[in-house]
Amino acid sequence: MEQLKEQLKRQIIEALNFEGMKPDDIDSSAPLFGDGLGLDSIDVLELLVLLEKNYGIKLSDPAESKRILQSIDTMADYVAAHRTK
Amino acid sequence: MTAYICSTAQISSQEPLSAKWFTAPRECAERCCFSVDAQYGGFISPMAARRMGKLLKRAAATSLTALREASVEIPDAIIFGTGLGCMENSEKFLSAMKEQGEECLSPTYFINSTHNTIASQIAGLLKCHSYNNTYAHLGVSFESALLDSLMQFEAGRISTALAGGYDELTPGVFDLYEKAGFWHGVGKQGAAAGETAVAMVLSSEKTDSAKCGLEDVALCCGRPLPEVALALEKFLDRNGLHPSDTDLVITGRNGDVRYDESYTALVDSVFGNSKPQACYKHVFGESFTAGAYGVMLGAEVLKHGRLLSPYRFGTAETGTFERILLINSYRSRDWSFILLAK
Amino acid sequence: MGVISAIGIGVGETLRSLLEGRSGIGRIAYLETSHCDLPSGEVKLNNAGLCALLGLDFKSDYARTALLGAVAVREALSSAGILEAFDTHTALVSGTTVGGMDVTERHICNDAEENTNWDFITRQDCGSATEFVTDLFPVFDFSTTSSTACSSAANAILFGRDLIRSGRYDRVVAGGSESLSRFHLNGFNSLQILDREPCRPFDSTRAGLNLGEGAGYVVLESERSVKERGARPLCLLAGCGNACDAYHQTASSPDGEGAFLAMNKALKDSGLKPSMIDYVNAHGTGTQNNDLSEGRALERVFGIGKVPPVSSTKSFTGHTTSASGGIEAVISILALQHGFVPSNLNFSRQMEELSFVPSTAGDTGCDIRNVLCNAFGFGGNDTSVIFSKTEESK
Repeated sequence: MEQLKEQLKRQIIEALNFEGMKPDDIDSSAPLFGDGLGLDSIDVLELLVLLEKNYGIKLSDPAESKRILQSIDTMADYVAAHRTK
Repeated sequence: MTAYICSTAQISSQEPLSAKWFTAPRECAERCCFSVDAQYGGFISPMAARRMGKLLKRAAATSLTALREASVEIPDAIIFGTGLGCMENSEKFLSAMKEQGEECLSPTYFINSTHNTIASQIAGLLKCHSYNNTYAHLGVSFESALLDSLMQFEAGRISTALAGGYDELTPGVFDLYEKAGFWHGVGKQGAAAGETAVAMVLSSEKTDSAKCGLEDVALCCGRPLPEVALALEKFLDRNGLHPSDTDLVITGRNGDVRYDESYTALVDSVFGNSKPQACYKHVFGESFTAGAYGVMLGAEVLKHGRLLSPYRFGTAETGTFERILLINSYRSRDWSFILLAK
Repeated sequence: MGVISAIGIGVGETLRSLLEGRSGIGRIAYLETSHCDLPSGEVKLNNAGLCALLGLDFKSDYARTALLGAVAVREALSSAGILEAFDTHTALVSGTTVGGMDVTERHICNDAEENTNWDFITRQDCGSATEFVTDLFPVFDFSTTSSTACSSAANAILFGRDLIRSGRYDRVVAGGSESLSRFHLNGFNSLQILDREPCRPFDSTRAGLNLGEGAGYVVLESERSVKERGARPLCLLAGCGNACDAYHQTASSPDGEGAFLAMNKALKDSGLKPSMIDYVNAHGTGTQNNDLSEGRALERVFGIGKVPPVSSTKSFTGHTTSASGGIEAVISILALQHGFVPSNLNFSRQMEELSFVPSTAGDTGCDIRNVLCNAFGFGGNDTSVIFSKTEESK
């Protein structure tokens, strides 16, 4: 699980172009949106692309996406349970 | 009516955000003059910068510098010209479509591919709700933006404007236009390829920092040379001027033998062959919005009252500089005339 | 004026479709894409057909945006009686963002062939699409292209108006043209704002927009020139307003600040009071975000309970992006001329957040004197234009 979280962090840093940020800079339990990492609606779309491309997970319900994309922890839990690749 | 050019800022092949280009310009490389980037940390927060390509960062840095130098916080208008917009993003989206098909595409490149992303993101940075417009029309993109700015002043709607010209040279764009014979090849057909990032602040008031006045702008498209000459004469006439009333003509000649002759023919037919001339594309390279460098040069010449040898063209003696005419053209097809005065 | 869109080629066919409530949205038939099932408003002619309309020999590297633009500009010039080189001092101001992207993407995604005409490939930018049109008609000695995404054509009209107001031109053809492209279809799809059903602007169940394509232009003429040649104007371009939402790259602000400012500027420019507007042709894309934001802005401009009849004709044409400000300008003028409120199709449920519902009846026989037409673009480039009946046309 820790390995998956680390991998997700690295993928997020790359996909969202956080120059100079390291995986350790992201707190796994901190919110990704709002006060945490401060992501916005375009980032949501980028994260959905990331999940589909890397893990074969396709999310279409916005409410469900919002729940899954709360933090690295929630993302990792969902990916571990639903990944198809 | 006159609008005053109060500040200019550039990122080009010259030292970025500095005025050294005027006194000690570097010669441009033979085939392309890629821009020298500035340090963008002081202008854009890391959060804002992460979605910005090179061209957007240049736009932010030049815009914020020009505004600061003119002591304008929020302009009454932001009007930019760009021939191709943020090509880096368009290319990335296109190549993703080619490589992975029409699924799982990342939206960020698409959002940043529209031409207006530059002017609207500068508005976003400034939280500026003012008039905002973008022109994308080949070699008169910047000149259209300047004309729009001037008309906003004339209509009394604004008292300050941020105008700019932006184009980037990606390897893809360079290759494509290379294949079409735009850049220096055998027998000196073609120009040196360049990039543009120029911002300027215009004001209805002659502030202390004002460099010169912008008197008028006109475009003339798709007409044979004799008609272009007539249009130029009409332009001067509209401004109450005789050809002899201009002290210097700055042309957009770029070293391409196929098109430079039309500048010579046009200037000779309207002004005779002894008019002092200057040019600038041998320093900054050619791009759709390179005309912005010409305006920048004209403004400095009027401010300092001198023209240094790197920018001189021809042997005609220069006197004092009161009025300068700029002539630029895209492949002898789209012409623009800009009148600057002290 | 001249127009081409999914609901017809020319003003006559467009008017009939509007009056009969006939939408042009359907499956994609002409654009090469794997998303054919996305409902879209395509012009029902391929490029060879468009060339035939123009009397041109078909070439595969003609941009569809340019061809659509040429068809609409020709109708505009012809109906204004200036098609035959009446005067060569006329300006063309056209809005587009896609330009010749359809040709570029075919070239890039299908790999270039040996004998590619590179010079032509470099002429697939926005400005070249406009110049293709300029070159077809001898009346133009000025052309430029405004490119502010979905408000491009509205901004072209605004710039054209200033060319006339400042005395630089007496006649300006202004509007916009945009073809569908794989590029922006996929771009909008990546933003997840395309509805898989026909779009439902201002409906509580709305789920996004349908893209469309087409072109629309108006011929603007100075009062002096109208008098001199005894032309009969269709209406008055009474006012324009441009403002920037400065909120987000794609989303509109929740209170519709940019839209509010643009509409207010246009009203102030026209000297009309909000209560004098008889119809609003809304931007109304059908996305969750736009319709709420624009609806709030309309309530702020007109007051709750005082919003005039509103409809989004994107339910007929699809969202024609850069061309929308031109096509909807033509529709607004038709509403003025023929006294009807175009219907907002596919509406069934009121949005909880808004106090008004769009007009769905397609009312005819109305006295419409002033129409406000909205066009808002990505980046918050918001523009509003007002058309009014002239003394003669009242």
